[in-house]
Amino acid sequence: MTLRRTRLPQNIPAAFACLLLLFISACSGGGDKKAETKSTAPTAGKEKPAPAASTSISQVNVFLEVSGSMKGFMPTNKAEGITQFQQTIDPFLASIQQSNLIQNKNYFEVREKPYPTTYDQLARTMRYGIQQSASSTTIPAILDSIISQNQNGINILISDFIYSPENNRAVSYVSTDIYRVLSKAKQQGQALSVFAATSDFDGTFYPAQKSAQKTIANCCDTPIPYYVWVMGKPELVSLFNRSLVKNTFPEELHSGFTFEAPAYSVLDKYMPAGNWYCVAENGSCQAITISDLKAPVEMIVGANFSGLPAAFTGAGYLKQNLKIQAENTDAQITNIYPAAQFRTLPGVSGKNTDPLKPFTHFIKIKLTKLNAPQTDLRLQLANQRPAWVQQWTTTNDSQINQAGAKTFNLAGILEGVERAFGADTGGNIFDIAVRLQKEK
Amino acid sequence: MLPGFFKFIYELFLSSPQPPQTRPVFWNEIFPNVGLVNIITSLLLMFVFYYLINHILPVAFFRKAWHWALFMLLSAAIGFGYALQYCDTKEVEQNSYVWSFATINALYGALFYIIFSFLFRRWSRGASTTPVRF
Repeated sequence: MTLRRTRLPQNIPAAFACLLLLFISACSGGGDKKAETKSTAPTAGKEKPAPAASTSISQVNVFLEVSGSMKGFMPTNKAEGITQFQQTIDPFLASIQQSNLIQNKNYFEVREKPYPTTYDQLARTMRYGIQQSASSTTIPAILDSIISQNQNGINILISDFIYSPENNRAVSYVSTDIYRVLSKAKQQGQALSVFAATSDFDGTFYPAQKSAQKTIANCCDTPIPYYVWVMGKPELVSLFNRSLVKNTFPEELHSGFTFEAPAYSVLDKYMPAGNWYCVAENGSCQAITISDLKAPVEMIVGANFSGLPAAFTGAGYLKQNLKIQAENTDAQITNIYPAAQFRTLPGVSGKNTDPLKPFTHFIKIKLTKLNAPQTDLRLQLANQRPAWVQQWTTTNDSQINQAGAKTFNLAGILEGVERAFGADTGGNIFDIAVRLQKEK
Repeated sequence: MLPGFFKFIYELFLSSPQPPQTRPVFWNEIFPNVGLVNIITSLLLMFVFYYLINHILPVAFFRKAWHWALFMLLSAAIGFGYALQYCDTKEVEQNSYVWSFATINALYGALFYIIFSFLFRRWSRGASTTPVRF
């Protein structure tokens, strides 16, 4: 008896372990299979490896057109003050000259062809006016000579982009001419950002349409548009735009870029409605399971648009061009909130906002139908020609004082740009998917 | 296996987690972890009562049925408290579902303690017939 008692305590832990295991495994056989919430992650498919982030630009060539038509932006004897062109371009050139990002900076004055000059010389011309105006050359010819050099750096062309070919009838072919020139740039793997602004103009205006009136002296009562074209490898142009252009110019357009798909996730803690839950994979939720649709499903998708140019992430642009493509469901975007606004909403402000940090925009989606076991909600942002292009273009600039801040056939020029660069972009800036599946 | 088992035993008495968005965290984290801790604490309390107090230590007087019941309540209380606390660390808001989950977990805490007691009491030197002799 004593012997038995002293031996037993050593066996007890082993017995516990055996019984516990037996107990759990016996019971769990009855566990139902519905608990398996695993699912295949939606295949984003379009994700490409991110290009190596560039941190410096080897060379920047700045081309300033100094033909007679530019003289109004850089007058020698303006009555008072300086033009808005000078106010904007002077600090812009200075920031290029002083940038540590750029190793080599070259400056050119564009007359009938580009002539190399120095920063000081160019700044003097820009500040104190064009002394002797040169005969201008056509835009396709300028572009052609610019594109062929400095392929691994960035080329910047500052011009009014008024297309004035020798043969007046050639204006009708501007789109094709631009397309032909820029196709070369596209083949070299270049991209293009166009920035646009207007300035007061004090001098002679040279309309592209010479039929009615050769020149308009002492022009103009209305502002005149000018443009800054930034060309080069997409990653370098993005870097340049981010660090040096920023918000210098009010309007912009981008062509030839492929943008990385933005990070995104369904955020189930903020303002959810309806009977659904996330299928979490690696911390982000890109698929949801819908238990039933007795009540409409509402969810918030957070997305990080900070890698996209500002022109694409404005409230107006997103509202118009961010679309849902999905079959078998009536899902719609009911609202798009920028981060700051989202944080003030009643369903959000009281909560822990840490999960919101990675995202810049919040998209509210509502659906009441799902007619298939599963479907992919594709959120696509279309690369639309910005509205300002249509507003700034004119078919007749011979009465520019009445027409206002417009450029002759701007739409045609940019159509050539789009044809050259837009061939294989598919028209979408990004295409991200949230998978919907019914609970089995 | 384990998540399925715990989801099954909790949803015997509870509906699917509410609000629906909390289901994955309940099914994959809260149910299995809270359930496992619940089983381990009741096993530990059983061990303390039958083998620490009434076997290794020569305590002759702590073997009444109500002493045993005290430990059962303790197991239930720990189950209740731990369930609430764990939901809090998982940032699940304290709604009525969390409270009923904690209550069910307390009941399971007591139940596991009872099951383990009757499974293992026979080797205890001092309390092999607690709480009842049969």
